[in-house]
Amino acid sequence: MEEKYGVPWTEFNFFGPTKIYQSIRKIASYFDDRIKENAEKLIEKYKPVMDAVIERYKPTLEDKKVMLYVGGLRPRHTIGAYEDLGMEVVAAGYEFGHDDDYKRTYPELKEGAVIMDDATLYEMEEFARRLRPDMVGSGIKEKYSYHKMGIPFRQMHSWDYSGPYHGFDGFPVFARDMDMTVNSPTWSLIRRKR
Amino acid sequence: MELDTEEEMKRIKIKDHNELFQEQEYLEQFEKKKEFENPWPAEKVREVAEWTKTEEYQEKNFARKNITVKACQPLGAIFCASGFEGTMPFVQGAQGCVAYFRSHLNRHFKEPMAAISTSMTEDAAVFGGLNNMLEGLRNSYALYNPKMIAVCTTCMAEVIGDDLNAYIRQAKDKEIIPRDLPVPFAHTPSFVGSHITGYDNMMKGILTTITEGKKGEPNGKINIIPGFDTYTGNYREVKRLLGIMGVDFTLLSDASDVFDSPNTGEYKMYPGGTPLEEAADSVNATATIALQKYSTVKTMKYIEKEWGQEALVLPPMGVKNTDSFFDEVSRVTGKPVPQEIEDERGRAVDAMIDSHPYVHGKRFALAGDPDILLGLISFILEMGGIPAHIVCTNGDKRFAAAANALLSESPFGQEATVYTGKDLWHLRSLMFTDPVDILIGNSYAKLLWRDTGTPLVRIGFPIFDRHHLHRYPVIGYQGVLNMVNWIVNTVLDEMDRKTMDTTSFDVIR
Repeated sequence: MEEKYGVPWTEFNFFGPTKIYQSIRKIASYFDDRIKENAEKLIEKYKPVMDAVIERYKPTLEDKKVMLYVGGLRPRHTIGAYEDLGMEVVAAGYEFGHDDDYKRTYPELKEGAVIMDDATLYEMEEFARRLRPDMVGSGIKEKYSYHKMGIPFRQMHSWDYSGPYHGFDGFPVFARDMDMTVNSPTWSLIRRKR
Repeated sequence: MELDTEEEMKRIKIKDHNELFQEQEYLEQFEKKKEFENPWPAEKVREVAEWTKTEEYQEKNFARKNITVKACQPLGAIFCASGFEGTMPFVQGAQGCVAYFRSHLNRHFKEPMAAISTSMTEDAAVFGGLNNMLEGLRNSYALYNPKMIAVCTTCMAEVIGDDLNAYIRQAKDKEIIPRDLPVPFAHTPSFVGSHITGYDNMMKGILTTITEGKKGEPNGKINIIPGFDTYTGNYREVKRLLGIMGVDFTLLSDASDVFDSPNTGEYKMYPGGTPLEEAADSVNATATIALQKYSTVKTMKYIEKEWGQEALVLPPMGVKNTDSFFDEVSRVTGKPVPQEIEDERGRAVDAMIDSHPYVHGKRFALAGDPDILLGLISFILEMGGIPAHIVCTNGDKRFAAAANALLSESPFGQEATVYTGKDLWHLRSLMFTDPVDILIGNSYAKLLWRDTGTPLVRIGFPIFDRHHLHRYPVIGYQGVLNMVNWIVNTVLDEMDRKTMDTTSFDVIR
């Protein structure tokens, strides 16, 4: 659209307050002052809610490590939301990402993070063993293998039948769900071979 | 009855009270009856009903004194007695009492329940109940041929001070019953404690009588005392697990076959129970383990002191409590915990992990007996649930202290308040002023479900309005699995009902 018709485009990201504010401002920047003002009002309206969610959930999620393996967008798009809660994405993999997806992923991750392309279960298990994430976000076909390994898991395709996770209304649900699973007392009941 | 078309009349549709009384004709009848009932106007009733949901009302509610809404001692006593082979529970007291004990147990277990009442009435209140007891013992022995008659009392016999020991001695001196017939007894006044106290008193009485003069060679076994446990599934579970471990044990008061006998076309009055010889030999065991604390207090004290045995209290409800149970059984018997049981544990933990999203962070109201409440609290905390209101009508200070200690050990236990000596009507106020997500209780709690809309998971006693729940254990790792099942699926049932006409009515949860 931009190349051929000169219509500007932007990839917005509504996962987590940092990305939401950024995206709202980016979108507003293409429009007039009235819209720019409304954008700021919108952010002002929801910032207290976002701050309250972070205050509630960051203390118990801070520094927890996340490994993601999702489809073609979420492995990079959700990084901001995790970071808003103080969590660190140590690996992000795509099932069907393209060149440009990977190009856009590099800047989102910290030095030393792993990027995977079309990983197999073998590779996922090996990375989990080496990186020791506190949580893995992937799909239903991965979920129970991680359960058996004793690694907390949230489905990042179907939100584990919860959600929404997008936007201002979704971030509290996202935070609650990550905390619920990472910090569930059930994991500590696992007793390895005696 | 509304008359259907000719076509429909051919397929006879019969409506019982569930549908019939909702028909127009009956609704009108109910309306017309009101003329003679002189009721308060509907608006006033609604106004007061709303008022009962307020903080103001809660204050009045909690200022109530003289709470007597609990089950009484002899119910526990006869339940205990029933668990022994060929034993006839014998109640010195009023008829109505035994009618209520038997019908309670009939309705909960859907089983027959035999018990004798000495039918004391006004004249016995004046002259004493000796003759009632003598006649009762003669008749029950002759008609029902028990191997043991276990005697307890109702309020009436206690108020007039009938001396059971003396009466029983007289019965034997007068040769009304054979001298060698075991006739243990317990005074079970209903104005003290509750049914769990009665169980304790009767158990101590039975063990005292039946083990008299039996001290001898150690038998290498352990004794298990289940306590006032109305889950026949629990008894079968503990027998199965100890069997897998290869442990030699005596189950003192085995209610499982007595209250869950097979239907073979023949009525047996005494279908099972602890063999009396084994019960007599229990004084020679290595150790005694009680599976409930608050229904075995006196009994365990007696065993520790008089039998010189290690007396352990290990209620195995929830993962950690079951772990402790097995650790101690293993220690005391020297038998290792086999992989089969470890695998059961792993499967139970797996189920808890799978289902945690529907329990984590959910607020619970719990009502029940002390031991079951402690088990539930432990399990709920293990799942990340939040116990909020805990009502134990027959709980004492020691229970409250134990419950508060347990709650303080977990971040999920910080919001809870424990109420002893309060009842379901108190809980009703709490559920209006400080709502919860899930209620766990017996069948009476359904009225709280109706009034507050909080879904009810039926765990405890009595369960009259659902069938067969008592056949499944709540102890051990299988018990954990069952509790996960009942709690999660109740949550999901409720979720489906609420989302039925929305886009959140998902096939996968």
